[in-house]
Amino acid sequence: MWRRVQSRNEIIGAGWIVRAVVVCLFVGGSCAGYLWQKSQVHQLGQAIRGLEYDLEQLEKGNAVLRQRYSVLASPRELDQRVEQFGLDLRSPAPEQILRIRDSGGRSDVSTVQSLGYSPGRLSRRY
Amino acid sequence: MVVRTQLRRLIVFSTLLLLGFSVLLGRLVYIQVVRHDELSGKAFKYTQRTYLKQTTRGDILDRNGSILVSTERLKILCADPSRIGDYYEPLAAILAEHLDLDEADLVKRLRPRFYTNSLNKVVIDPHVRLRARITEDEWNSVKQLMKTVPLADEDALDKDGKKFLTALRRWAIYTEPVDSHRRVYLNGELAAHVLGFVQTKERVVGRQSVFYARGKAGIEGHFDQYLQGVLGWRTTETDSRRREQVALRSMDVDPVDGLNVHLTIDAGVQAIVEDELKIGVEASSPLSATVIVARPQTGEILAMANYPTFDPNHPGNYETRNRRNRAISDEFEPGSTFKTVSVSSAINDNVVNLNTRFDCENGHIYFMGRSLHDDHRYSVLSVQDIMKKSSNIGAFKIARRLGAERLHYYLKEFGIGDPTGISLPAERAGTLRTVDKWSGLSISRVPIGYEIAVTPLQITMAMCVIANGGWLMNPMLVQHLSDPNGEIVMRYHPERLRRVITEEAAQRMTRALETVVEDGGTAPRARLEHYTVAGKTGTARKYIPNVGYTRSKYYASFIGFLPSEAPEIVISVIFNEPRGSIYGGVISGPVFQGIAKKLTNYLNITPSRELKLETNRPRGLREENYARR
Repeated sequence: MWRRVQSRNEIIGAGWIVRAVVVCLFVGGSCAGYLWQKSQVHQLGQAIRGLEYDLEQLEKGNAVLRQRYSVLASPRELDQRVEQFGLDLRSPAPEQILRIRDSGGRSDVSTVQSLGYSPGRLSRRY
Repeated sequence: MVVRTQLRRLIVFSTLLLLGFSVLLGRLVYIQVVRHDELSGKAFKYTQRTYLKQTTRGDILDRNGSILVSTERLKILCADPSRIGDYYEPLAAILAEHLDLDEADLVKRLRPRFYTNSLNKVVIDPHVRLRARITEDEWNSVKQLMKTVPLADEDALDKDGKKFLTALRRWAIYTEPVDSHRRVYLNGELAAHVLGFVQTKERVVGRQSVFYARGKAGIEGHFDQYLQGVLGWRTTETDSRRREQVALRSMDVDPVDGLNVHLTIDAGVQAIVEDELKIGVEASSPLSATVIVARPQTGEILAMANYPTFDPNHPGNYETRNRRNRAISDEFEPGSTFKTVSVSSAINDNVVNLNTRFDCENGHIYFMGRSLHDDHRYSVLSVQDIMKKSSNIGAFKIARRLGAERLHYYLKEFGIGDPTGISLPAERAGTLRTVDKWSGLSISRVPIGYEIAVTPLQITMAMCVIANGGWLMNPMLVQHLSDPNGEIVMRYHPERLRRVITEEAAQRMTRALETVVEDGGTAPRARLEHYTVAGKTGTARKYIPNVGYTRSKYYASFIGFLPSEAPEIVISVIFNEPRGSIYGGVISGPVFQGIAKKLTNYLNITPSRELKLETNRPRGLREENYARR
């Protein structure tokens, strides 16, 4: 019995044990690392999904707000508000408008001018 | 000895191990290589999913960037009856109350239905659609409701019962992965005929149903291919709980949203026009009416309104006649407004000038055995007065001097008988027969606006020729198309089609048209206090098939522009079968005046006449209050 143990010790030395432990640690570490990486990938995937969902919701919310803004800025809505709040606003009479003559053209008349027309009188709006 | 024995054992053991691994390896090769396609297909069938990504239809905006039409994304509410089991009746009652649905119908839908699947197994249909369109808020409220929905006394349930109830709350009600959507016309009836409407359809792509809107009329119809966009899709894998594994996405193609269409229509101008049209309609109860506002220099359409109208949010609630854009699809005999075309042609050919005088035969003349008469008796009138008084006999004599061939040539040049090419579907060309098909009487009828038919848009563009110095413009309804990021991808420019008359001839005609709104003209009610107006009235009898021209039904119209010395806007007002008065100057003139008054202010057009500025009035004080002081 003693001889067999002694011979085994002769075959498997301390160096081999260390090597085996290192190999086991490496394999175990690799497995753990692989699992950790997979877990991270999964968690990041979930995070990406969550953020994509948030982005989608924000885009939807943005679209809704743009629509609401357009409704609030529409002529009908403004007229209704003016009436609702009794603001008694109305367009000024022509003689109430001070017009300052200028020699310049208007901002977006290039197309019209390129066609050979003189700048018209809608200069303030279009 | 021991070593040899151990070595033998080692060799035998290694050999067995190798054989074992060889068998495993062979099996692995058999599964992974030989049966790869078959087995991977089966595996993917359970884990791989392809989701379609819904595209968003482009918006339609006015010239100032205000959204007129947009798209609201909605969800499709579904249920899985296999997870509802025997709770379908109480659940139907709760959902019906919460979503305002018919309870009996909901019970029928939620009751488990069996069918045989592809594996020849009898299973419960796991997909029942409850409502095609619910908003995000409604869906969130349903989710909250399902978390606490009281379906049974949980304390009385066993473990399996509780588990089933938990799964029901979590999975029984869900939404489809692809959203539905609804087209929203934010201003209701505003510019309804220009915008058009859509029809929502459902189609199956792959194994998923997708809702999409197909433009049926107006801009929606004409620019449908640009507005639509392209669907995207995502191929990915899910886990046992149907959660997507983002890392295993194999294909992810984003949808391409539709392009936005920016119109030349101004929502403010359109609102003013529709308000004034409504007042006019209430006053004269016509069968239909049309108003168009255009910029003569560029051909841009600022407003286009029709009566009767409709709400494009619910087009199905209205008759077809309400949905028709009469500005481009209704042909009518314009009557005297057409004298603008025929007389300016004669002026352009130098056949007449404004002072050329014609005997108007005291209001009655026979030509080719048929009578032609004026509303009032005129003896000798100048060309300018012929326009001012709208003498039919005078216009006929001018046209006869011009000749049928030349008249027909000019009518074609003015765009009569050809579609204008506006970016709208279903435009009519009008009717203009070739000269060889004219009767001997035609030379007395065509110059005064009979025996031909035009659309309101054609006659408006013809008036633009006078207003802009002789050029026929291509009517512009769209400024540009932009992508969802706001980048312009296609721009439309004003386009001169051809010079029809000389600038001098146009100016002469303008001078003649200015007299129409003066005292003694046919449309003093279209006059403005601070702006010069040039225009022409029209009162045309309607032709009734098998009856002829009736004395009881008329088209009353007024088409004019202002300021006449430097025209900025052309406004055409056309009433079909007005009640009460029949005259264009009486029916359409005031509507023109009402629109013009507001537009000059809205568009900030400089008055034609010098005004004395009221500087003493305190700022913000109303006119009448100031006057009372």
